Amino acid sequence: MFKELDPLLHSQLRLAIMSILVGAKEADFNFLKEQTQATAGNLSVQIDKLQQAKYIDVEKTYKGKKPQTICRITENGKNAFEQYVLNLKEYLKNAG
Amino acid sequence: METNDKTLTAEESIVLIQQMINKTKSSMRDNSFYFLLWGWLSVIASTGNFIVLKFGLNPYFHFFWFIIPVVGMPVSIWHGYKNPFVKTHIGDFISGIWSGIGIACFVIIALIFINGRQDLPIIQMFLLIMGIGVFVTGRIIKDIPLIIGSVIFWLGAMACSLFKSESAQLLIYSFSFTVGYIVPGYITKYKNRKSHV
Repeated sequence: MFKELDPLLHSQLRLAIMSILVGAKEADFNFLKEQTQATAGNLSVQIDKLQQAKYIDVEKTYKGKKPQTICRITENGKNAFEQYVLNLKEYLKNAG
Repeated sequence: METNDKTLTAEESIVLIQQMINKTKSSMRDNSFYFLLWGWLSVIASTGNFIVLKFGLNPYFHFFWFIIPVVGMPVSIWHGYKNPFVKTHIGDFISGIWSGIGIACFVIIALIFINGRQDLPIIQMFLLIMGIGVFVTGRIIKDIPLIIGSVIFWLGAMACSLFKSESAQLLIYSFSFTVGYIVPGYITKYKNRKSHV
């Protein structure tokens, strides 16, 4: 029997955000938007969901005079991502 | 690839994870702007010095070297400010290496003022340390043109032992930066442009 996939990560944009942050120490909103090609509104909503779940930390700062939002994956988020990938692999193994 | 909030199949999830990780790595590898900026400034400075030296135009021709930091640093800072921000462990490491190279360059310049130019093989020293920076960067990001570029710098440093005149060494310097720095920079730039299409 395979474990249920984390519904918070089993969504295209949230999974994309987490995949980027797993590889990077930190990334700002504009980088995430550029890489995911998501709209600003949608990206903002998904970042909030991940932050509420404590999968990512969000720091609001300034780059010169412009506001800047920097995201980092948390330890909790890394563990959740790793578990998600393990569960995915198991699912595919059983399905294949 | 546009992402939205749809639920994925298991296979789509794996593909998406791989795509995003590769894209991030590719963005992190794209230091081409900095290679091209510092490469072109170095070539312009050394070529400018060569022309001035050859035609005896100005006894203070070494001031051409100052265009490298005077133009390079503000443009680098502006580029970093203008573009989306991402930090990776590898990016931090590479940044640390080039900060060290930059400091070493300033130390060489300080030694010139302290000891005078006659005692120091300046161009050789610059080529040697540039080769180290390019080699380590190339190894970390697994970029073959950069690794080849580092060899060009080291061969250039050795060539300076054979061609001791200042004008010849300025040409070796220009050549080393063109082939060892600018060419890998353009290769990386066009490779990354293709992978993002």
